[in-house]
Amino acid sequence: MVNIVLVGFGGVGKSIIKILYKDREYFKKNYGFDPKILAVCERDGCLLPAKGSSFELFELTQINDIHQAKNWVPEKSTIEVLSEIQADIMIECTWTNPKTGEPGISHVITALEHNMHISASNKAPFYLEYKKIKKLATDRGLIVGIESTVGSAIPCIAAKKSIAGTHIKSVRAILNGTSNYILSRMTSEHLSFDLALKEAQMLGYAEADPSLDIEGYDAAGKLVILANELLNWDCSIQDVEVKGITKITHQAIELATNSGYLVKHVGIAEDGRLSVGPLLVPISSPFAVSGTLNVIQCETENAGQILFTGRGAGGPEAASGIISDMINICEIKKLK
Amino acid sequence: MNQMTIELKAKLPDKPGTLIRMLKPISDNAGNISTVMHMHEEKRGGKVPVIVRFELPVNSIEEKLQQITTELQSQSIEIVEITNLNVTKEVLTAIMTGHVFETDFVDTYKRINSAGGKISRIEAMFTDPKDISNVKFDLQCDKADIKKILEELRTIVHEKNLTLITDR
Repeated sequence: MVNIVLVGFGGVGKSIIKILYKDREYFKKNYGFDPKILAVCERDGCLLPAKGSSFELFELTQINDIHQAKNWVPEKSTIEVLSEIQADIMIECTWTNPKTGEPGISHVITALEHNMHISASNKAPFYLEYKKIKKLATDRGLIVGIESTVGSAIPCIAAKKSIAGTHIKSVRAILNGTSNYILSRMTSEHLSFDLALKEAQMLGYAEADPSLDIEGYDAAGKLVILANELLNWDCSIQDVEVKGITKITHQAIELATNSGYLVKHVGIAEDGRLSVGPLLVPISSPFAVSGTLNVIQCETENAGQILFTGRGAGGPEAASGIISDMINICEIKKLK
Repeated sequence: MNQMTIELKAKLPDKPGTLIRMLKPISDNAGNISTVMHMHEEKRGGKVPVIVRFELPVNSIEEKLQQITTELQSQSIEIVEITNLNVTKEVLTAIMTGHVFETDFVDTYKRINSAGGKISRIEAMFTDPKDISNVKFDLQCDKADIKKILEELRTIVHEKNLTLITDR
């Protein structure tokens, strides 16, 4: 049995609970993973069970509006809960200010200081304060799982261990599904940027304020995480040359396709340089993925290029990455 | 490798003895001739195109080539092109979007060339003379010049408020 505090009960948080409940027998049988949720925290309060107990997963799957749930304690802060409850793992999947990293950074630091391992889908703490968080975790013998921060369930962070036999020299990746969708539609349907963006918003592939995605900031943050984790760099988001897709025209795309290229928004960590921006990729390239797919390519010393591709966003996808991290933590630390 | 392969293209008057006069300086300067193409069928204006491939030692290539060129020129042999076949040519594609023509296109062209990018093809699309333009450049360059060319392209677009998309 492993004790968990879930911080964030939005799309990802609810998906985690749904999957933990739906696949509970599978996880227990194959991995000995038997999670107990001790608390569910939101920005304006927490859900706490009766003292000494944990929540039934089924009970949590029935909650739509956490504020209306039994056991909701308004104004109980996440920091208080993390300081009071003894849990093995904190899951961090809150909305966080992408420029400041808060409240995510505070949650992660507090959890580590209270000897909790971390499993997070929240990127900002890790592209802003990667070094500080990793040091704190290492000093305390704790694991920080951030698979879900880049590519959701795509096991690209895990690549460091799974291809440990060859070191990774550089990374190129399509990291933002919104941008990739927009560029795909501009290409296939000859849409203008504005029209493709409107379509993406209607279909839920772009936020009402899509600036983080289309200006390249989201991809930049993910690239920093990949560079730090896979290439052992020491960088933050300020080190990235960031270009978005807002100035790409459908004529430029047509010029590209007439010459056998597609225009893709690609992050590159290579030769000490970090950049995200539009790139011409050959139509036959593995980067010629359409829709909201992500691609992460690792250039390795001994094994050439190794590619990962899959859905880079979504509640169930991110939840899968989180649960993978938790299972990994339990295996390494023998938490049962 | 200690030898470099050079391809020399020239135009020779169609007269007896001119070919040997072209080959002698090459041979005299340690050139190991592997191929001679004397293309009579392409004779124009009394001159025949000739292509000669030969190897030169790497450690004295500059000096030898200079010597060969000087001797050929002293015999009034018209040299068209000398290429080092061991230097691989790269092809780089770049698209600029914005007011590409209104921001001194000739300057952009010259700066790309000066950086080592030989522009082999330009394609442009724009809907209206007052609208922004989209211009694709195909460049040929030496591999060693790619970084310099990319830096120059980035500098140009930054100065001229253009958008750049390349294949690198």
